[in-house]
Amino acid sequence: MVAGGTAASLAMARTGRLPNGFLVWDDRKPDATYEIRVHGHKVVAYSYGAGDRVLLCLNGGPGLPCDYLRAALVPLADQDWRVVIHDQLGTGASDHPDDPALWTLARYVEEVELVLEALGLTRVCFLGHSWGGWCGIEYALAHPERIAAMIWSNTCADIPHLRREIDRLREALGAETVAMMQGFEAIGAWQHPAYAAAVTLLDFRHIRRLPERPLPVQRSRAGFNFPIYMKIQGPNEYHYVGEIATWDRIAELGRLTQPALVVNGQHDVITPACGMRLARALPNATMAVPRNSSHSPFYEEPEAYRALLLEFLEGL
Amino acid sequence: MWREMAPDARTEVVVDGQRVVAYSFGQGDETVFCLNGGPGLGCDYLREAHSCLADHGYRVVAFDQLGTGASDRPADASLWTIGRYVAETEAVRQALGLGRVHLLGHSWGGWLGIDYALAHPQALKTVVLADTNADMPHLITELERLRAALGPETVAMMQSHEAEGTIDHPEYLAAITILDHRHVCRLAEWPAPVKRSIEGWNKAPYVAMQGPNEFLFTGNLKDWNRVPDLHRIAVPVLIAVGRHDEMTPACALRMKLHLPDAELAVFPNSSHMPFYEEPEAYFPVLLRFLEKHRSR
Repeated sequence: MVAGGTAASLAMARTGRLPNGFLVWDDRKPDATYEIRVHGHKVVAYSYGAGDRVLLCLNGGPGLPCDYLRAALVPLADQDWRVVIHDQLGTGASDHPDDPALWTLARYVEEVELVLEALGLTRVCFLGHSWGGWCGIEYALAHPERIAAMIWSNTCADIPHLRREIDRLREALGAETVAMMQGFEAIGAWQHPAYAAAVTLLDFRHIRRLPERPLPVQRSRAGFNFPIYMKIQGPNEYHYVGEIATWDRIAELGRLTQPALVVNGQHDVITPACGMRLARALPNATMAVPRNSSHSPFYEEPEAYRALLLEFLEGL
Repeated sequence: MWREMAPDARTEVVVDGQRVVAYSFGQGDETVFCLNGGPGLGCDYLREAHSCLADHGYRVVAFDQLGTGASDRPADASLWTIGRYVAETEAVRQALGLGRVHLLGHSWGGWLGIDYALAHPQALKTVVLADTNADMPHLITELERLRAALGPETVAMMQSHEAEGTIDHPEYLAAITILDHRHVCRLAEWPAPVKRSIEGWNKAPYVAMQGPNEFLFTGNLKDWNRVPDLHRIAVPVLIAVGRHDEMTPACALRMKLHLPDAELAVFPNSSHMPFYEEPEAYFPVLLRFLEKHRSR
């Protein structure tokens, strides 16, 4: 919950501002919109601000429109940064092809490169949130020359390790709850009210510790393309059965020598231990753990998070 | 085994100017008089579970307690007391001419049944106390134990919402949903009569007497305790409880230890509704008890 308590959190969720006027999120119109051909389909990218200092952002999901991350990072355009983000294929204003073969990590990595090419961006600061971090790390390993610096926000580089951490979070609901969840997972009954209730509990604890979802989050969720999420990750944040379940790039991170900032909330579903594992594998990383945040520090502790980003970016 | 049956008779009883609707199945002198839980629930879920006793020669009677089902729904909050419901129960028994009955009370119906039995001992052949308790402060400590199994962070979250009055928050409701499926009814799909009763739930008497959910007792019954009086219930009593019951086996044992003539059955795969969760185990136990005490 943001400083100022429930009332301040609710006002922030609806208006974007804290009681002191701080702009947490903003729905302003982009200064430029790009339509890019990606693997035969249209992908829409948004650009805010101008200049050579480019922050290329990749949001989480997979399968979520970029609204929730875009709105929270757009205020950086007021600090002389050009903020670029796109609706990943299958989400938001981009095309929604009905072809499950498109929903792979490798194709989304190629999509990032096509977006950069289309915008004529040769070297950027990269911010990846959650799935946007996994995809971003994979992109950085494939195109290290493109990356001036990296912000890995609420993400990790070792999903098997993450899954062990998530088991720990599930266990905090008690042995009987874990048995119930495993029972429903074994038969794919993720819709059962008791199972869905356990996921809801964990979501409020480890995804977003706020009384109400900010409007851009509500929009991203309303546009959620579930089949993409299911194919790559799984049915929810606590059960990995998709292609990413075995993904682990820790051993290769030594090649990414650019300055890096790693941020994981104290209560993050992708835990501080996951963040530390990533930060220790990167040769030139610093790590921050916002104490009252889980997976959405840009909404949970917006002032502290913005300050972290700016301190890192201005220090480059 | 339970099945949905049409009642052989539907009777409207006027109690203090309010209409109460009773349902009767089968005939004869051996009447199982059902008091359902809630409070505030129509009797559907308990009636449909027990009407099948008519196949075994029993007359089965249930009624929609005032404020529920087909009965009148007055808005007068002063009506929501256990004493008034005891009087209503006696009025229904008299109006239907039931004579001495096998009184079956489930959950809140058990609390009502205990107070009824203490007030009208002459009306009883036996008492069945299903998934209920006689000591609310003890139950509340048991419920705290069940809540604690969700982990300390969950308990802290629930207590915060209860303290701030934000118990409509989705994370609080999620915890209640988990507990409901663990301690109220463990079936993957809740039976249609249970859903019907819940859809028509009048929360006014529920909140006034019990509380906002099954795991927070803040109503006018929160200090209710009849353990010191149970020795006055002289008729045979069957206590039925699920191993996973929100009104736990410890609550059931506490009643048995203070009743002069009680037997107790624990249904291992049930929580609060063994008649739906384990009918193959529940009905033989109930029928054996009733047969043993026929025509007393």
